[in-house]
Amino acid sequence: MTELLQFTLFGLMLGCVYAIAAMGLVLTYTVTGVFNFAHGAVGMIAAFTYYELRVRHDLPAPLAVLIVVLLMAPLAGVGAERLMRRFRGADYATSLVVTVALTVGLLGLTQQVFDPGEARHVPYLFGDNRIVLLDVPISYDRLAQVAVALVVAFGLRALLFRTPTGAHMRGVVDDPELARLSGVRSVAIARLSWMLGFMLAALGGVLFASGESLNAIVLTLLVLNAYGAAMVGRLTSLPMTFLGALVLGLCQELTNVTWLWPDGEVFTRIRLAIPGIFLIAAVLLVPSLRLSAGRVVGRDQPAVPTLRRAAMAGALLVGATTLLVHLGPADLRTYVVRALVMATIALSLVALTGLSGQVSLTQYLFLGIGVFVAAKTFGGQSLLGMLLGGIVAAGAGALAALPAVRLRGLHLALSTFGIALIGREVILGDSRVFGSGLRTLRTELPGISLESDSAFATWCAVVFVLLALVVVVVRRSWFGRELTAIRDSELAAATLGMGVRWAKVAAFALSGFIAGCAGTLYGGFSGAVDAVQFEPVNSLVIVLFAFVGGITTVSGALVAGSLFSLLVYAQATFNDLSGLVFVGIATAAIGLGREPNGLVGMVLSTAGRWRLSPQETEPIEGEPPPRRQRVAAERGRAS
Amino acid sequence: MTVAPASPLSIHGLRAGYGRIEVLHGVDVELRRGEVTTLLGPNGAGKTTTLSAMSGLLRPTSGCRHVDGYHLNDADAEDLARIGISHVREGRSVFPNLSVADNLLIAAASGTSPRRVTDVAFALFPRLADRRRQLAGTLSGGEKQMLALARGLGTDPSVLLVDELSMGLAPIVVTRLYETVAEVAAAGVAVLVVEQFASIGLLFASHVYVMTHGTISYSGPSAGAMHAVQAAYLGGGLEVAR
Repeated sequence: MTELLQFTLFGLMLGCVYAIAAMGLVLTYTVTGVFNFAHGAVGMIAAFTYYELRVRHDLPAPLAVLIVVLLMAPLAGVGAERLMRRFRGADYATSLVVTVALTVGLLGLTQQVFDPGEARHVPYLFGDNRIVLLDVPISYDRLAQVAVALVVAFGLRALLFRTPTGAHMRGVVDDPELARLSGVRSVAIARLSWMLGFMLAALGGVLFASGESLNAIVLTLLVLNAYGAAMVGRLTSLPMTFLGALVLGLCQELTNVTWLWPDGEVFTRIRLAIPGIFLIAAVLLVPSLRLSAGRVVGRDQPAVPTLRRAAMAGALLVGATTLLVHLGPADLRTYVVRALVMATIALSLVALTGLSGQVSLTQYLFLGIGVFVAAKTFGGQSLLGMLLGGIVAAGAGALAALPAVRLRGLHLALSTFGIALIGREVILGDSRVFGSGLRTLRTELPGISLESDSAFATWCAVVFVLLALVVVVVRRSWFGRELTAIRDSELAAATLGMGVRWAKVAAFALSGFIAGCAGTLYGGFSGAVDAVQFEPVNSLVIVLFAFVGGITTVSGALVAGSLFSLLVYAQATFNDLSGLVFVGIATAAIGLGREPNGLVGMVLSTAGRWRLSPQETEPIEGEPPPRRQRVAAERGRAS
Repeated sequence: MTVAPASPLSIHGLRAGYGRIEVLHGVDVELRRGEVTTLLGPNGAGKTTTLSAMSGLLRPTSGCRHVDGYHLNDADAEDLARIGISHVREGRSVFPNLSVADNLLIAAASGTSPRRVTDVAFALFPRLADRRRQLAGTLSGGEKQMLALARGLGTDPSVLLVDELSMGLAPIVVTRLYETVAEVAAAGVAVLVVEQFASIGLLFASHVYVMTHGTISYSGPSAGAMHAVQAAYLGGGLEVAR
């Protein structure tokens, strides 16, 4: 019984820290409409800074906390507001990508500034002092968590409901335009909400880190766990967010009670996946959103190439790759292979985000599934294994989309991240999957050996081109047009009788298939893989690369892959600056945030090659699918 | 001869629109202190866009906006609200999820004391005082419009822009609201009313602008403007049937 009581108390206290972080997230989101994905990274870097001040510079704990939370975090918040102001009115994908870029950039910066090899153990805020409450020893730190959470909750309430500034904030939430007409300083209000959001993220980060060893990624994910709690509050309600945080804390801690939670590896893994499961569950509790009518964004559409042109370009790519690896220096080969492998992963995002406008933050899970299936079936070297890997990953993609498909935009993207968190623990983390490392072989074609790097490079180019052709064919088909229609306006698409939800599932499946096939290439390239290579953070990074290259075009995927390879080369050459590579790609993603077609779009539009007028797009070949013919026939009968 | 005092708010040859779509193709409107001006025109003529451009919600792409004779094209809605230009948007311009008291409190963001806004509002519309704790979204249509108008007037503006004051309201409420507007104008405020019902707009206004297809097609005293209004609504060239 004491055990139950103990972990109930611990759970509530953990929930308090989640609540602090989650309330900051909700505050920023409701006032500015931006979901700050970088919330976790902000908390992480705050904890590192706190450690530096406290341990390295020997500042007393309260002073260090004050400097981090009340000085540095608000300043960073001001900067964030300044940055996000550039993207005001942009769609959710843009602000999501920009804040994902911030996350990756901050992780890179941390790696650069704080040597990851050094062990950093953060001392407790209040030392070893503890009191005993109902036979349960409770450290002062945990008490402080509760106190701080309560102060924050009541403080925010007082701010919002007792002060004119709070009224202005609520006004901005309710009707931003009317607030401006009333003379409310919208920029000042946005700045305040970013400052508060950053302060709470920093506070959460410092409290999480207290008594722990610092690890940038672990800490970021820890604060990220609060997203589920924010989801319970539907990103708008602070009290519900607090409640959600307490429930999340309880769920996590109560699994420590021996008679409540069974032993065994599977259950241990599930226990670790609880934040992800909680996030998905919370997203599922969100009532089905109404279909959005979309709006005129004047998006410059890249011209879709004809199949013939695409095939010719593909043949050219295969030829160029072959020439390059045969004539170029030997150490170029791995970089070429890496570029093509990464391009194939980016292609899986082109098939999803470029076609249907949905953002996925879980591509590396599909990649991992593809690697595993291909390595374990048909002797690990068969082309059939590769296809099977793609098919299983496609199933996983459909499954990942299924629960959240009635949602759209941000909620769907977050649920994919929840999937990534679950997949990381339950599937990829399982010792029977990768264990301490899985040997992966290159595909064996009948009569052709791919053991040499040059042959493998050609093979990667062939696979990329074939998958790219699939994407082009899909885009030119009725289904592709439907996806584009859905991206532009779900409501208009639905009134035309299109199955919006199933189309999304199919788009995720296609994306999963490509990522799964890319997995086999990745395995063949690496030779051996383990779970670390498929961390969810990688999924964030590849999203950035895809956006920078150009997520709406196949050539954009190729640019993304090449860029990735180039940066790996830079990392290898300038070893001291390895963290800056992530800062670089993050900066590029933010800089290109306003350019929906990425680098490819920029180059083509400056070259004047941007064909976007509808007259120049060729008509779709072939008949509409039977379902649409039937609908049309029924409509004819009815009139 | 004395120089005429500058108009508190006027636009000259103003062009504005949404994205690539231009809605106003060079519009001139000049408001005068102490007068009610009305802007009439069929659906889609650009009346609401004109108001948005005047109050700073939209930036003019060319032409100019003058406030008290000063060229203020770059000012946005927040700045203009703070120098006394009050815009009551179409369709119950209130914060639905905030209480009546909070609605009035936010109106004071333009630099008036919250106390004064509340006093003016409750003096104009005593019914609002009874509902001060109620969420604005739960008020009746007439009460919402009262609150919207009170929000606009409580800040002691020099210019009041009102869009579709009468929309969806009972005639008795409309008359009551218009009487308030007329009183305000008599106290020296320049008022511009966009109206769907030409008759009531003409009844209370001294000057009328008629708008069609993003341009002003008629401007003149409201007496005798009915002909121009009918021409604008019915497509022009029609003789008024007697």
